[in-house]
Amino acid sequence: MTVTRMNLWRLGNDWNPTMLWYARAVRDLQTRPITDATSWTYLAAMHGFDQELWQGYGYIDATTSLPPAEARRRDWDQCQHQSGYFLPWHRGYLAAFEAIVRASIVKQGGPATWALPYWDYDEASNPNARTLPLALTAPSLPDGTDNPLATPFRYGDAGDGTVDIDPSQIRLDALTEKAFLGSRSGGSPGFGGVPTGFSHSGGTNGMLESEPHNNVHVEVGGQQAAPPQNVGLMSMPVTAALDPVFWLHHANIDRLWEVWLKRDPQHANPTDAAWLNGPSGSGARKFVMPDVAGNPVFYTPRDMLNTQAQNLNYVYEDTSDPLGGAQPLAQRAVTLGLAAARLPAAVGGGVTQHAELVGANDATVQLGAAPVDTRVRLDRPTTARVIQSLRSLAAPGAAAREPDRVYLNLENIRSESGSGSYSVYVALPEGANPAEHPENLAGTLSLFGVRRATLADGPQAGNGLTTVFDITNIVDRLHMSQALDVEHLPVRFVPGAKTGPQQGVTVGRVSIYRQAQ
Amino acid sequence: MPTAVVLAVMRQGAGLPLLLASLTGWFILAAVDRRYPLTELCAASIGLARLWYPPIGGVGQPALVLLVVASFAMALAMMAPLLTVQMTHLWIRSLARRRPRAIVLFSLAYAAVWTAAMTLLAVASAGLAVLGIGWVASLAVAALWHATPARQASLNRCHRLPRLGAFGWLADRDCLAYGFTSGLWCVGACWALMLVPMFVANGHFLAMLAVMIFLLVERQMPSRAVRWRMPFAIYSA
Ligand SMILES: [Cu+2]
Repeated sequence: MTVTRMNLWRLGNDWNPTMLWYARAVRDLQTRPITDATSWTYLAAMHGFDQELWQGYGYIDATTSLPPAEARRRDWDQCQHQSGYFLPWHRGYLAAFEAIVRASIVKQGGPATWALPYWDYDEASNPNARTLPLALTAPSLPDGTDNPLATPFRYGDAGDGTVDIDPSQIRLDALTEKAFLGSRSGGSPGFGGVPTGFSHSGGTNGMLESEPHNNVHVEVGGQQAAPPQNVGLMSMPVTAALDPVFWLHHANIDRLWEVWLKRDPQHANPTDAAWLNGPSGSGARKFVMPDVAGNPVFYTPRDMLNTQAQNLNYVYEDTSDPLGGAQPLAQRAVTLGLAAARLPAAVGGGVTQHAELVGANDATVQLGAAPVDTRVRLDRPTTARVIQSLRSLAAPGAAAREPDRVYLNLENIRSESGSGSYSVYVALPEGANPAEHPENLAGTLSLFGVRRATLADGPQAGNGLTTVFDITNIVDRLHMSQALDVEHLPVRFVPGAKTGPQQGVTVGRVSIYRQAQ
Repeated sequence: MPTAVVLAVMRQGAGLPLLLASLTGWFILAAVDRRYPLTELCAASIGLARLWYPPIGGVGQPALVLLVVASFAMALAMMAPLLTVQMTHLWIRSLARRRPRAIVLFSLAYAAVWTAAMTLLAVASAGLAVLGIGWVASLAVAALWHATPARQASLNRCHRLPRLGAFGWLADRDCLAYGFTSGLWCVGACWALMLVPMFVANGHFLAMLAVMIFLLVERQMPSRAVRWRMPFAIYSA
């Protein structure tokens, strides 16, 4: 039977049956040993495992016997990030978890229709949406026993244990991306990410993965303000799935995939075999999840397309468009002073030209506890091509074609610490207070996943992460105020709230790309 | 299986030009081979002294010149297909009009390192051959090197994507440095295996081809932890 995943807050800020059963099931899973594939710890380790950190948080100790090496190699450290596999892999992960939780609930006499709730932190009509309801924070259940859904290792962005997500970090612009798959060419990385092989860490973030996904991880996990300044579970992929809120966050990310598909008839899932079949080639790891009995079941993205198919069997309570049908092209027309009637018809999904470098800063940027400025030197001939393209739309009898889109690339972001975030502003006026210029906010650089991608001998050879922000709207406005034909564009990194000082956070290069449409 | 990997590499953006570069290398090697059998040049039945004088084969060319040409060609033939990641990085991260320049600068530095290394390896193989070392012993040396943490560390560093300046001499410097360091790590990862075909007299070309395919398949795998390993077990975690 198809179950319905409900909005967490609409279930009520109380011990409603859905959350109470979730708590009981989590407790049950937590009593199972890590060698059991349906245990809380085994499932979390499938996302990522770090023996030292897990011992630090007390989930295991030096005497804990781990599952056989063969099973660990097959199942653990599997989460797909910085990859077009991000969404389909996590969909399979959630479905396996949901089935195991439901089996525990049924065993305890609960409903067979139980489904994982989703945390819609963007819900505009709910002033509390960006915080967590009682069931995730209360110290105890109604019967007075400890609440397994609360964890002391969830610090929030102020580092004091309260979660209240900064609204500027959970914008839903990713929903306006035309194509599911993007590219690593410096232009759009796509709604769902870039084509990769098995990609456990490192590379280029997809748009949805970057915001809101990564940002929510760091905003929830945070870092303890007081000594010993622990990093929150949600802040790092190797510990994230140990926090019960992880699953509700990812249910929302999974829901946003459905929202994206539905909000525009041009939006579609990839159809190429390389994506549908998942990682392939000799030696490549496959996606695999335990069933409710703990037996491994292999899957591919092809199996993850229809949530109502036998293997998934769920729908979301609400997949309406939070952007109310807004189209980026219409916004551009307004900025560029065009009548909407003259708009070119939207270009079909997936049609993206190769991007081209417009300019870059001149040295690696070292980020710290204070704001840091750098400037991107613009190449005159290439900038002229951008300007020409922006003008072309307004020219009489111009071709019906969207002008260039422009992207800010933060290349090879590296960090030794696991938490923290930076707001990145482009072309802030001299001496301006960034908080007063949300229109210049290119995006938030979150360090989720950066620590592991920085390890020189990790799978990505220490190249760190690359994040791409769409700054088309900022560039359009600069163009209209005659401020684009310049030598340099200033870029400012403003560290987030009250998290502790970060170690060795660097951005290898800050660059700007144009992408013809 | 390796065929599938090779084909997949060739479908990548830089795959075809690199394949053509590799074919050019093989072609030069074949040309050199006609002039003076590579097996003798590489397998070093020539003594060290003969590298300098007298001219080999009575054709009037000093062996050293021929050796350097063959070393360059061998590096081109066997290493070019390994450079898809580097070429893509140079292409994407350079201004469009500077892309050819970036690739040329990288290639110059990279080829210089490899040509020098191959020449040294050929000379070394001459010396080792004199000591009576054959292909079995050289394969054993390669296996030993491939088991070491240092070898894995070198291989991992072949995947580095450094910052590349966009403008002027800084961009040129970064491309040259990228080619130079890539060349060094690549030599570190591959020297031992490149030495083996030099001791294979019959089927010399086939041995080189086998080495190239192994290195190409291996290069497609992600970096791994640095520790002692089973040599040539490229699919293990
Ligand atoms: Cu996540």
